[in-house]
Amino acid sequence: MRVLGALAFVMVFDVALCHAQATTPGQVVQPQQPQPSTTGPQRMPARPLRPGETPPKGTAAIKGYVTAGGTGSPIRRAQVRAMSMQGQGGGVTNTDAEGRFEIKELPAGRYTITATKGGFVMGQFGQRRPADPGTPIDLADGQTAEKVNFILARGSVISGRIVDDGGEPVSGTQVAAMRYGFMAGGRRLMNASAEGGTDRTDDQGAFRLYGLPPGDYYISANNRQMMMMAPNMNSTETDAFAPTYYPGTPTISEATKVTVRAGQEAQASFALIVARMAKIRGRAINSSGQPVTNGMLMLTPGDGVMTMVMMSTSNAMIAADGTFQFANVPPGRYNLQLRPNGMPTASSEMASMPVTVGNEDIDNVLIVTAPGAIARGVIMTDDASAPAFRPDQSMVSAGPAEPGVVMFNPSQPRINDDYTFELTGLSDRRLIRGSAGGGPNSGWYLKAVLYDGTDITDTGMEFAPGRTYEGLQVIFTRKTTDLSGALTDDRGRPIVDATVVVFPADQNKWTYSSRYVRTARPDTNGKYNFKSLPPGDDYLIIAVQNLESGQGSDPDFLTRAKEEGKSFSLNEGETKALDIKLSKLVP
Amino acid sequence: MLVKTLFIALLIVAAPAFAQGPPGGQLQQPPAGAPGRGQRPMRAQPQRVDAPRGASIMRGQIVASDNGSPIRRAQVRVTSFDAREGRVATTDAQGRFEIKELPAGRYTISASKAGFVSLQYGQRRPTESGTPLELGDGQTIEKITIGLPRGSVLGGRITDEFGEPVANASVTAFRYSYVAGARRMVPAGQNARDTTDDLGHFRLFGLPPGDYYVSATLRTGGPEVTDPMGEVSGYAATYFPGTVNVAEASRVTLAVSQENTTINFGLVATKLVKVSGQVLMSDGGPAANGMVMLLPANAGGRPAIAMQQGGNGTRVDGNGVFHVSSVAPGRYILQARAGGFGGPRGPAAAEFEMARMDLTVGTDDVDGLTMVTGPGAIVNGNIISDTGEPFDFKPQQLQVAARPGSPDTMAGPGMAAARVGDDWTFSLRNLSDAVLIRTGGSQSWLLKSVFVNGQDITDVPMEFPPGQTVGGVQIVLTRKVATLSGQVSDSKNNPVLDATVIIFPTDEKLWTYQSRFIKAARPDQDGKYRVTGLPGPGSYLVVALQGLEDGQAGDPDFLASLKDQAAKLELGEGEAKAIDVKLSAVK
Repeated sequence: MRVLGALAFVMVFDVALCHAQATTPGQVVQPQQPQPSTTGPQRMPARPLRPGETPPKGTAAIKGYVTAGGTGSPIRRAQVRAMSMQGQGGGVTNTDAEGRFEIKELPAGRYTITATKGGFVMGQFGQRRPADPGTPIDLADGQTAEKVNFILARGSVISGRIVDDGGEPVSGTQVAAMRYGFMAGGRRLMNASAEGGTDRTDDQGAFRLYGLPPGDYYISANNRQMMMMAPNMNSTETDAFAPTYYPGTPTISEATKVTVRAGQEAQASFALIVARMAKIRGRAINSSGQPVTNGMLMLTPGDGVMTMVMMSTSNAMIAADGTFQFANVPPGRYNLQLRPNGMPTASSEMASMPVTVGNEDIDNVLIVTAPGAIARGVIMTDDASAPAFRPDQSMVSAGPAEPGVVMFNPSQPRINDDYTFELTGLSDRRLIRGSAGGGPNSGWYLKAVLYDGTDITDTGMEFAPGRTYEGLQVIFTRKTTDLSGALTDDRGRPIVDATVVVFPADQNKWTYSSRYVRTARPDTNGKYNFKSLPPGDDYLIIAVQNLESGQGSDPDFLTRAKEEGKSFSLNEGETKALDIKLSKLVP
Repeated sequence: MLVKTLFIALLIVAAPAFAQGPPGGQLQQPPAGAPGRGQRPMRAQPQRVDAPRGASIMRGQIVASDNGSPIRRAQVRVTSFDAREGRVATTDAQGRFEIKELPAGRYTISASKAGFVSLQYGQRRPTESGTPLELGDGQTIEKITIGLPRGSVLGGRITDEFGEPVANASVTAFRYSYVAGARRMVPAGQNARDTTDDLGHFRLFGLPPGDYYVSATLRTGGPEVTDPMGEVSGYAATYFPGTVNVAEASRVTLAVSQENTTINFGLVATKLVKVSGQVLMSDGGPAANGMVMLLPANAGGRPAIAMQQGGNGTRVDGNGVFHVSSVAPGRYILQARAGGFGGPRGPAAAEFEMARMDLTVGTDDVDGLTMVTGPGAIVNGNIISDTGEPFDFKPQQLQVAARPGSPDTMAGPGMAAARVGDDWTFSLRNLSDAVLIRTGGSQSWLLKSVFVNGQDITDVPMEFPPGQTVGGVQIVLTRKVATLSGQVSDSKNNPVLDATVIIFPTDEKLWTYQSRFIKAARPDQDGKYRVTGLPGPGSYLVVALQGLEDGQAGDPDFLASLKDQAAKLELGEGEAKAIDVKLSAVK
């Protein structure tokens, strides 16, 4: 088809992006799911293995078996995965015909172990109930942890049919089971984390969501034609299916929840709502007033957090004269963002502007790009000695300072021989972060980021387009400030099934991705451990049960926890031992 | 104003009978296109949004071909032959659509709806094109009816070696197609993939009738443990009815709108091994930047599956070392590509080196492979016109690229299009394998010849010496574009719409891969065909027949069988010739 000619440009572009991609630099950064409990330094999760890397080998091992809850029968070919919480050790295997597994040659360290099998709720070793976080295992060199056993619960199923306003099946609709959870510091609707939590309807409009932990779910259906609009494509479509929730409303507050118990099957069939879609047309020009020739436009939800369930972004190409169009846009608030194609350079220009769409088409949008800001600085240590790590073992990056903002991320800069660096392509408010010494276990921790003498480590910095900022200081220290202790109940018995939360009393420090707010799960002996917390004198610590993933950052929870928490202070370089008792606070 | 109205009225009166939709297609997807048309244009320039609006109108209806019931919300796409104009419309509740303000031109119309087979207007057979519509100025063509057949369905259940359902397995339907001149298995279109649910069920719908092969795989998505449990560590890609050997896969034939939900088979458990080695570059040093791909090969050592469906790939680490995991036993082609990444100008501007080797994998890990890449060739030259007259367009509009000269030329960075400089020079880089040099980007100027050192290499695939720079290549363009047109009719002199006209040279030596001398076209609504761009002077043969298979016109044996039925014609350079063709009885 000749139309392939116009779209060939698109496909070439996609391939080019593929090749340009090394790791994540240069790409738009999506907001991360919150890390569940982590005790690694700097809050950096274990880095996933880069393709081509082999996991390091060790002498520890884990052994166990996987059975089905209720029947107790062994689960064959369940996938068991060990993931190191600090380094890259780990491995994955399948259970055999008797449901047994063994993972050998693991380096010493702390691991989370998970077991998955289609139709069952994913199990985390050490959890009490399905979908609870589990308990990490500490492995020493030469140690074999036996009885790493799992009892998997049967997943629940929600199935149904999606039809249109005429009762005809609508195939190709993305359906997702969503539940309320905590993300980016607030209670939000998000995808259920189950292998079968999303599905696409078939020709009969049928969908099947499986492996769901028991709970309350909201079912969302989305059938938008996500074609990338080439500028010469003229769409005459005005009405289209709006994202719809069971039992048939576009508004989440009017949606009905579907409750499933363990192993239960429920039905949820409904019709998609038709809504008037709008077109957005306009021009993109750069800071010299010329049409933007090298770039792609994205339309992202403007309410801050991407729920990551629907195809939330729409893309458009830019014609040679800078014109562009988006078709099929449901009413709502959006951010219109322009990012350059290919790898970003120091002179790349970008733009972001809010757009509110009602029921009418929007013409004559003008988006003007500006070059990113440049920030120059130096990596140093806190004792003014020459850094004991090499420049190529250190890294600096600038990430979003607010949750849910989709940002154009500049590539990680090269660290020069004299430890200076230059960050380019900066915009909006950013948090500067870094690492040194080549990995999370290097012994070096980020102590502070200073600009012009001001500590901006946790507040970040606003970058105006086109400006150059000099004198950034990224300071590392060897002094680790650690906190550990035993968690027990009233009778002094160790508690394993709880979450320990450390946080400052000062609410202003409860910022997005704050270094001061941390959660951890105790190990199998009831001992908890936090490495490299920033020093502070107004800390509180509390241990609660049934804390939801991400809830530890929820300001509502922290406010209530303030009453019950135990105060303590941490001096720089201190290794503090603090035993605590389980709180009765219900999260 | 008055004059204009009259003008339009006159045209409508004079216009030939409106297009009546044929009982609309029996079958299948729009084809990749016969040679000469099937090549992807190097890059279509994005068009202006405010492209000239015409005054012509197309109206019609999309119905289900089995019972004639209207299909609402079907997508109708109208594209002009040169891909400069494109419109998209959606059918209303009566299945009707209207597209207005079209400029005059030759258009193809296609309709699609999830669950149905997408068809072009006038398309009768699986891999043929449809009937283009010639639209005059201010003309209205009504009653464009396209009957879409309900898609056929392949469904079934995937189990493991214990007979239990496998969830999250990826199932793909393949069919054979002419890709790069040879019959290869390709996924059967956009509906060709599904993932099994917790019951192991999959359903591939909306398929055109034809012969299919079904495969299922289960990826673990993680590093395999280095010592698997027993001899079995994972699942190989398995083909229905349960073999890992592509050659033993069973063919499943689907008729129009047929459902076959008995495709049940079990994944073959096998030992998955690791393939490791190192990539060195031509200077003997390790390749710090690069990738390695393992492509399944058939018995002849050729890629069994079309390249882009590709295989298992991974990046090399800083020492050029690679580890490809989860490899099932079998024959492969290992391809390495090094260098070129990370440059600020992007991969296209940098230098690549490549290497390729055949590899047979058994049940043991493969270690210690060494691949030494070599640089491609560089070809420099300039572009002139055949008459010496200056070009009437800017050099920036033109591109030069190397196209595969044989079916086994691997796609690679050498296929990237090069821009033409202000002085009409160009430089092609990273060439390897046998290639043909081609131009694109101008509608009125055509490639006439390519010379190197006085030798005409226009249609001779050239393998330029790796690592060498070849200069003095001359590309000659001509404005004399031959046009061949005429009426296709049957023995009773009635116009024939359902046929393909093939024009090919009498000289068998020109029946080469991707030959410029072989072209095909479908007649429009009046049975008139039109072909442009044949090189002249030359002796050609013309034949019209039905039921042409995708890519068949590139098969020399097939052309030889047509010689007796074909009419001879002599075409001068740039000549506009009219030749009426009678439908041939032979397929």
